[in-house]
Amino acid sequence: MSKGEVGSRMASQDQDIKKAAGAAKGAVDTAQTVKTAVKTVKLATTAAKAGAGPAGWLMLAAQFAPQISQLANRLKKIAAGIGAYLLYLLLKLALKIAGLIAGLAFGAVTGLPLLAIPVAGPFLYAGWTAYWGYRGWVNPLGTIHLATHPWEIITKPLAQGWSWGKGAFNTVTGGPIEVGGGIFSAGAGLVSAVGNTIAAAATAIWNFGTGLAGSAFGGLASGLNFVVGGLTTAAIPAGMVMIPVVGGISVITYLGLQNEINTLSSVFTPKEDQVIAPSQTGDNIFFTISKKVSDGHLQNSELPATITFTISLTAKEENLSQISMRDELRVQGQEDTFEITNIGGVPILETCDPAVPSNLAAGLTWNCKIELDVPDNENYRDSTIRNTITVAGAPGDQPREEDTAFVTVAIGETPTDCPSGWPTDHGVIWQGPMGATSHAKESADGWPAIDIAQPLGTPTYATFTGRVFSVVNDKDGWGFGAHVIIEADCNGTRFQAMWAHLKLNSIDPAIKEGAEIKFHDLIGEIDDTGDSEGNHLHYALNGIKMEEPYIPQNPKTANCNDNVSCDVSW
Amino acid sequence: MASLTTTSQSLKKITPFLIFGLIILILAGAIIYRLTNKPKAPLPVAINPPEITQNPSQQQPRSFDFSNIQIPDSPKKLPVYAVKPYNMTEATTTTLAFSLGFSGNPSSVKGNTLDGEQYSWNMNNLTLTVSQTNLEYHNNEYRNRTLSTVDGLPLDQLREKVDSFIQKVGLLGESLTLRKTEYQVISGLYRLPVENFEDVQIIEFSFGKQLSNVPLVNNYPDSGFARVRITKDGEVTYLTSRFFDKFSESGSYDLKTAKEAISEIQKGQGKVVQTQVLDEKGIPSNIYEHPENIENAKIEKVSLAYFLPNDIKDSVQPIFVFEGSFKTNKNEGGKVVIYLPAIKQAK
Repeated sequence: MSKGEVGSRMASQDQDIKKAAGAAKGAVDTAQTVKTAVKTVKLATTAAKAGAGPAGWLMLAAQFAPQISQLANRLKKIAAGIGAYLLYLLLKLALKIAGLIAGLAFGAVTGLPLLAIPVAGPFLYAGWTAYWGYRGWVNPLGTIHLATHPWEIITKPLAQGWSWGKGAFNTVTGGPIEVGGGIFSAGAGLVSAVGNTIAAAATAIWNFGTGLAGSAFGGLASGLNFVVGGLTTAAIPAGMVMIPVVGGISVITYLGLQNEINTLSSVFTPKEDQVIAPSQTGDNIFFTISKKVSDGHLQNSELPATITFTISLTAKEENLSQISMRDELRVQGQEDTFEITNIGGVPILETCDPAVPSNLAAGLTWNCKIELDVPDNENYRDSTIRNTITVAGAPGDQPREEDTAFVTVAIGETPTDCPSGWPTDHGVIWQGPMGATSHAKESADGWPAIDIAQPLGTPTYATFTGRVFSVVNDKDGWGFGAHVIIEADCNGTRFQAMWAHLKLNSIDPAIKEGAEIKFHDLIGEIDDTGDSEGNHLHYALNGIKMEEPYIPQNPKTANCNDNVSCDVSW
Repeated sequence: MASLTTTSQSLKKITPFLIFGLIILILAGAIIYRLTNKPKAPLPVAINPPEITQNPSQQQPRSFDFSNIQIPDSPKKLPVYAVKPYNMTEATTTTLAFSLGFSGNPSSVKGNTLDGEQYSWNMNNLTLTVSQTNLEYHNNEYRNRTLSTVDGLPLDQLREKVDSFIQKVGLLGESLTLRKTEYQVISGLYRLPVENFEDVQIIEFSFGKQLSNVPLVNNYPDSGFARVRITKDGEVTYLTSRFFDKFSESGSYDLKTAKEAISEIQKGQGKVVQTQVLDEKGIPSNIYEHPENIENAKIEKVSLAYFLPNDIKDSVQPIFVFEGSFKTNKNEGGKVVIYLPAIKQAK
């Protein structure tokens, strides 16, 4: 077998192998197609089973998430390939356009002498320019190079000719140019110098030509700007316009932030007041009673100081008689709690001027100022002073109404980690700690509680400074609904307090597990979530008793409920 | 030499065929491999266990008794679901409010609550609060009158009324199933449970929902997905429900076996979500569920459920629900429910 025959046979075998490989690839593709078809049929069947709802389709789609993900990956690769190819085409087109422009420019500049030929000159010039444009389109890189280095038309053949000549001479003579230098080097230097001169001259001429063309293009661009409305020029005034716009937004943002800060300040400032001077007024059908203080918060450094408490009693529509009054001034220090019964040796209410009335005409208000000198000693440093006034009275022989008002003064770091005051600004105790409806069992479980009936949305507050133990924002919440538990140590005893049946989503965002809560911080709003019927706050204590001094007033009886009045309201 | 030359020539001749055969074999092998070994599904993303809340004061039972437990067959894998809420705007909530008898714009709109924007209506005795996934309706008219326990409709008619009321709230869907019926009487600020229908003033129906035929539960086993209260004379007084646009599968996960789950419960890894003291008739002896000092928990039933998180950004995951009875150190008894995440965590 000849070499040619062997080669031919090998080539034929190669073809066979290629065909076989192609067939095998086809088989793989076919198998893949069949698999995909089976999957599609399965998908359609399951889709039919899934029912017509969009939820069904979504659930179906989720079931095929891996396959969809795989398909998506393949599509992504195909898309990436197509994208890359498109990008290549785009770049190629851009290059061709660049070549076309370079060619046209080169033709336009180098063809200028043709215009001197009479009659045919412009046609020749157009043809010359068009030819170079075509060349630029077909061979963009070469044309761009030529357009930017036109002198190479002369210098390149010259250098090539010199190289060829040198090669031929060396071949014949054995290479004296490299060996001897001399005249040949001088000749080479001369040729090189001539070449460089020609190149420099060509560069200068070319730059001049292109400069002219550049000026022409510049003029054209200016004209275009003029036609389209001076985009480049317009950019400057647009920028100038942006200054006030952006500036305006900044100013608005700043003002908004400033407003937020102001709002926050106004939120915190009164809250601070509430913290330092919690108070309660009394109100019933016959009279209102209130208590105020000259300064709700003193620093230890401000001691000694004089505090003025003001009692105001106003008779409503009828003359008030049978008036009796009781005033309590209690100091809760870090170590001890004691009561002040006399001021300057005189019982508190006897210091009032005018004196406590036994009758008060309808619409009139009786005021009394009580001045208390607070000394600078350990009994008063870091303490709270609570002044509570309880008034009873009624017109004529009618049954008397009793009401209470109080105000608290905080001095230094107050010992408010014992419960103090009511958890709402106003309220009525509806069930006592031993109420048969539900609280007796709670007391037995160690969670004595009172129910405070108030309308939906009534805010509730912390009654001591402590740490949030748990927050449950749920309608059920083990029967308590949305509820909060806060814990603290009261005179060395760890205790917890619970605010329950709160409105869902009303719990203050600051109330989070572990957060430090201050006296009178907002907890949440009253509702009847959980196993409750009617809006009320279930306020419970665990670890200490639900009674005075942890609440301002004990219910009439501990087992009061909807059948037996608790007789406490504020 | 001659034989070597012959051999080499013969080899030369058959080499193309050998190469061809080899390629065919490789390709056939590749085809068989592709057909028999499906590409492995990507591993699902690691998932955090659901946030089940146990009362912080509740201790784990001191001991467990699994001697009478019924263990049903459970799947090895279950999907996890993502929850998509509706976009509850003022317009959509106003339409919903209208279908429940409210008119006009919401009386208050509260932004940025724990459940997003919240719209409330307050009309005489009617209140409606709708946030992004929660709805609560109250009709407090009945509080102005004495509710009779004598007159009233039979239970099946009350149920029909409740069903038709639920249908007014299209958001709740049609897949709710009745889980529990509770009889109650009003006492002061509370509703107390009673045993017999004859003594009842208010009936509470709790409805459940299922996902892939598995019950959907929340942190409070008795609360249900939706609850409706109706007076004995047929007035719907209360409806509360969560609602979502859809649940969509987001990966399938391996589950613990029941045996593994029991072992974890014994190690105290479950969350005690219910400890309800019951009286001798099986009625809760306290309306509140306080933490109990459980001496022994006798687990009688274990089942799978989907846990619906409070925060719907979390996924809906399968959990094991262990139910049984308990005895306290004070010899009180009651019902205990313990949840345990069911997804096997990657080690």
